[in-house]
Amino acid sequence: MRPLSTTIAGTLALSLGLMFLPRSALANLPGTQAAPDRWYYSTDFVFGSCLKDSQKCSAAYGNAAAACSAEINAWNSTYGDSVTYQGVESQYVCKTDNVGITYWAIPGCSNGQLSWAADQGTYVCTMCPQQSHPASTGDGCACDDGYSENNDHTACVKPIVVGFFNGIKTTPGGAASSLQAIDDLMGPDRNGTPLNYQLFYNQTNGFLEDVAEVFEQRSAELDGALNNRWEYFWDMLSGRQNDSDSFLGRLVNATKNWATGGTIGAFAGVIDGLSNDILGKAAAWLAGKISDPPTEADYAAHLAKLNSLSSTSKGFVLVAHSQGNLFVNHAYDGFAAAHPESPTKVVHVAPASPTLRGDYILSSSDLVINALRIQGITSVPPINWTNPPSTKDLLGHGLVEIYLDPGRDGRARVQTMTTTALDAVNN
Amino acid sequence: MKSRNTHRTANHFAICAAALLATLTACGKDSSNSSPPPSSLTDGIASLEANGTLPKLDRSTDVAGPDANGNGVRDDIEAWINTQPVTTDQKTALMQNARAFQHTLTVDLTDATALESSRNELMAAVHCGSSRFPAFADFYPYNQKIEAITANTRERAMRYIQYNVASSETSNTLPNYDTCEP
Repeated sequence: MRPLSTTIAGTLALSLGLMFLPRSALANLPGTQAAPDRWYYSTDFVFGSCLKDSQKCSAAYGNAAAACSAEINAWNSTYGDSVTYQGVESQYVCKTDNVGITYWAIPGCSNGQLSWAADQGTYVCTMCPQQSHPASTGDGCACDDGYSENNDHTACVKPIVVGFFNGIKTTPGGAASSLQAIDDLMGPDRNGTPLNYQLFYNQTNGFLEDVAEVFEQRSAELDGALNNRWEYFWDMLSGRQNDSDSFLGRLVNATKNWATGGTIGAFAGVIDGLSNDILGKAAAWLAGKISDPPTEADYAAHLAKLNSLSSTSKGFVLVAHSQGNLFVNHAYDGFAAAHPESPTKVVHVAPASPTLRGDYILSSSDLVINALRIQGITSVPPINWTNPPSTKDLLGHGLVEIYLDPGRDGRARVQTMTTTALDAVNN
Repeated sequence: MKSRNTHRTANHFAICAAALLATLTACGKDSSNSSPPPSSLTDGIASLEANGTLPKLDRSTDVAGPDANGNGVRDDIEAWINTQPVTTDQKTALMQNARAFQHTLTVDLTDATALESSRNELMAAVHCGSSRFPAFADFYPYNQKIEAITANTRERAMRYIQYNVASSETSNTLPNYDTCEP
């Protein structure tokens, strides 16, 4: 932690006109990094985080102790009890060591009016000049809420929201990595317009519980060998039994060299049975949603989020995978009707929906979606990508494992569809 | 089962024949383990866990599990991460990833603010991990493995499923800045 005297020296240096650096330059200094946006975009947050001194905290909230405590509790739940308060002359300085980096913020600043300057390896912030938007950010000043710097840090612009609606069997951890995979595919901007990646998460209600029950039942056939080894449950759920790098794949491979009787001999059959169970339940769940579509209550929260982003976004590209297509159609319809001024496009990946709002891709080896066709649901779109099976996902349905697999041409097709959609809303 | 074994035997012969041209290594047993083949699946799994092919994990009924050093990562998962062939920076990212997943098991599911923070931690951990590996595809399998070994018992898996349910119909933003913890 930097001594207080250094802070004062740094503050004085700033007041004497120390050169400001753009945030991009600060982020590249050794041992340092730019502070998360929220640190200086929200005045309230700065007050709440810094003023742990109860007297000052209450004063900041007009002696509204409850509001003050709520802010501090929210802070602590995120960062732990690691924030300390120091007074420096007439300014407040907050710092944290839980991430090993010292940040300094002055609560007198308001949205978009902070800039950062180097001071012996750490940063202090001071007031930026008042400015309107879009504004040059070459002086290191942050953009107002809802705006992002363009690539060369010369202007604050509205981003395009890339929203992702997840597929069946997707956990929050899997959804986060799927969104990151889309970011990895499309990059931080499109022709200079920043992309704001948003996750619209829906879990597959009741599906995981059903599959867990089947996993326990099937495990009983193996004399309890998998009873308390649920890492194989998650591998099964993602169809990783033939992936030699997965835990389940390693076990499957090993059993091929062992005796064929008893539980070892039964193992392959149990795995095959489980795989069929998961496929059957996934197809049945999706078929149920097609015949009994999501209600307004099911997508109200996501529609509200889209509405809240409309005024600060240039447009929207909504990417849906699997069951996400059932939700994205409703969200799109509701949002487009309420906000005709916001250009919005939809990209459908492995669509489980009977209707489409944009271009789509469906793999020939996607057993989950094509199982819907076998069940007599003819409204699932035709296969338009001939794609061989993969050991990474035996069901051939995963967004990352199949459709965004760097070794398959489906990835380029998803990229092209998304790029086309981005260009349409970016004009 | 019979047809599968027949098919397996045929493949096995082909593999042995090909391998014989290159080496004289014997076929018919796991080259990573010279001990006699196990007689049951339970014994087999135990042997694979003993030789490091599979992770040796805590199987206690406690949802949180042991974390002796209090760094937010279960001790057995930390031990597994330490065996992975990754750089120091990558290992740090995997620890952040494990900490984020661990928090999903202990967060108050009735506290919407805490749940949102937890989901943001997952986002930050994934974003960090992606930046620390040469390509996202290099990081992704680690993310899957850490998720799987975090929810590795019935109690933990059920708790993670409850976390899934509690997170439904929510929205989160993928960070666009450096989210790596030191």
